[in-house]
Amino acid sequence: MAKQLNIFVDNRAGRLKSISENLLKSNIDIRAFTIQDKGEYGLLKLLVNKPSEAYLALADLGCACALKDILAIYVPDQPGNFHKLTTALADHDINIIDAYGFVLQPHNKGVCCLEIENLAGTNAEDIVTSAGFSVLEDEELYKL
Amino acid sequence: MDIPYWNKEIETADRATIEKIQLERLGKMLSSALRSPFYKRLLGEAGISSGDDIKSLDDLHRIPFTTKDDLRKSFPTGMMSVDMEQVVRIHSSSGTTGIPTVIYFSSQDVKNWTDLVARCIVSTGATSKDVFQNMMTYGLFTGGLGLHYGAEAVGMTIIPIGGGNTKRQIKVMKDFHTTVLHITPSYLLHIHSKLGDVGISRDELAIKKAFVGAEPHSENTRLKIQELLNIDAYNSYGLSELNGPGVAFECVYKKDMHVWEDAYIVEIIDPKTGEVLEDGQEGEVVLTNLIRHATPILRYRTRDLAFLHPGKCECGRTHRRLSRILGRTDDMLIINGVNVFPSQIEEILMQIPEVGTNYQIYVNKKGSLDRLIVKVEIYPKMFLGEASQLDALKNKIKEELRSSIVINAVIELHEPGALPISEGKAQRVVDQRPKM
Amino acid sequence: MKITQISVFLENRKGRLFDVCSLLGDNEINIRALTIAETESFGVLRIVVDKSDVAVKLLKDNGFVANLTHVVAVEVGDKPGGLASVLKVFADNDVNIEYMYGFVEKFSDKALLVFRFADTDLAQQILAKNSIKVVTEKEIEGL
Repeated sequence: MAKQLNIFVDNRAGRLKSISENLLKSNIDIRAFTIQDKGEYGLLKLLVNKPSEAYLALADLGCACALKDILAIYVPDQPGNFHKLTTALADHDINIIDAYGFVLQPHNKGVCCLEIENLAGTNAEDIVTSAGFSVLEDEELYKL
Repeated sequence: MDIPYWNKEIETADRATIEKIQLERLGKMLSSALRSPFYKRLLGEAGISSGDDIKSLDDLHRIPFTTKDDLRKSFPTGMMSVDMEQVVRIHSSSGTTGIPTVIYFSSQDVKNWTDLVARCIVSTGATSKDVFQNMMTYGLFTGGLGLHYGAEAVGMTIIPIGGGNTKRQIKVMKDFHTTVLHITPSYLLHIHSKLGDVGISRDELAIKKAFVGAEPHSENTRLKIQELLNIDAYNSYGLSELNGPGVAFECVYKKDMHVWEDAYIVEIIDPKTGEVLEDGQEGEVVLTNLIRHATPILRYRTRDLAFLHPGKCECGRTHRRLSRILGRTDDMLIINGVNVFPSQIEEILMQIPEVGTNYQIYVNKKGSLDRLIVKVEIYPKMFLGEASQLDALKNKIKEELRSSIVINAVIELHEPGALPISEGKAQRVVDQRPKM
Repeated sequence: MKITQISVFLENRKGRLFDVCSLLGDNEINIRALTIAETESFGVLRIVVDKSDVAVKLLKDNGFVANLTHVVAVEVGDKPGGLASVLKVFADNDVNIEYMYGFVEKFSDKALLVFRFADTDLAQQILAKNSIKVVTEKEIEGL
């Protein structure tokens, strides 16, 4: 299962800088990121090449962070595929809490990273593969 | 001006008469006090074993002070002087660490209290012709029922609406032609700001007077209230330990509040030394209740800071005037009329495992109302990375605070280490409200 | 003045901690101080050993995720109030402590504690100013 690093950050200037500084010191590469804005704080979500190392580095300095399992899915970059994915999940009552995506060039591939509600209690991965999508394993994702 | 009195004889009695009444009532109160376990011990240690042991008011200093802590430690019946069967009313307020303080009233006690409140109401010029909207909380707090009984004795038309639901309050004011309000100053200003929302203009309301209490406020605030709403606002002082509202009230001249000295012995002391100060000097208000026998309270340190006016009031009353409350000797906060100690908030926070050890309490204004903001650091070990967990935590803290201290606080979650550290020079409570 | 601590990422699987300790034990590496910070799904094991460089390479070669950090070993009076007085010095000088834990044995008649500070340099200045003794890497190796 691919791992995403979720970090609790106060909503004020300088917090992201302090995290990027730490990750740089520990030689960690960021592959993708997004922030879930919750008002006075936000949840910074990072895909990095070495999630456990990143966790160690950040936790050591008192950051509140956690490693979350996510479903990273290859979505071929043609119209209709994203809809096919969301349909497959909806048909099986799978709820997406958070999501982000990006397109890889020149491969014509999109990647959707999904945080699924109660992932362990669902068979979301099977549902997605049955619908014809391939799921990225952790190493594959981090090497992108 | 024709000065209205409820009981002119007492209200304008000369000092000698007042003091005679005080001494006589003090003797009787001591006898009652000696029937409570707490005062039996306290007075015994001070060498007082009967009401006759105090021969003059100068001997008052022989009676040791009573504190809020004493009330807490005596919960529930340590200060009770009668059998429960004789108690017709129980009022309670929350204590500093969740242990409440409780006051018992006998039937006569309630009558005495009612009489005092009626005196207060009439001294402002209110009459039986007035329609009275009582917007203070009914229940265990003394504010609602205290004024209610007094207003009933005066014969006012009472709307026992209690607090909250601003739109309804305004509609009721219009529908029933309310002329007198009992309310906190900040809520009154809030009502004014909401008139537009309800589509009712000031001209459609018949309000003439407001009895304002439960939170300290400046003369400027009173003037602002009077100007904005075109009413007369009268300051009211009371605390449940001394019955509730009715301890001191302003007359038509509104130059600070007459303390009813036939019902209370009032002293101003230096909070550090306990020395009794002169009229005009600012210090801690100490009160002895002369008219409630089910729960006697002697020389109670209120922790309110104020002074007594040396001069006479134009109304002719001989009962001295207490200034508005200028501050506290402790760290108690008053938020929209509700008392809360920072230690109560701390105790609640520390029982929630997801909350780290650092927190801060901010108090500021949102419009005219007070707002309490509780900032907490999350505890890294408990962080699972999900927003829903954090939302649930915020709600949990909010709910716990609401059910214990009856205040709706704004909760803010922060990173570990974001707030000033717990020991050392950190300020736990930041009160950003403009000073008096 | 700073000493080396190894942080090891532990998945919450049965036996993971045992795996770490037996690996170190089998290779003659002595654990001097240790603490674990855990959540429901994973944890971080923090250890001070006598041969840090050897230990961290060994762990990485055996598939563990580990890193090195600088911490400070502080001598604290071994009596009631000993720790409190040191903590007060930190609080009064705005020195933030991320975490702390104890050594397995004593170095002298004083207790020995590991502190991880947000700002290690500031902490060391404050310790020196207040004559609080700090134990060096060399002295640890000799323990």
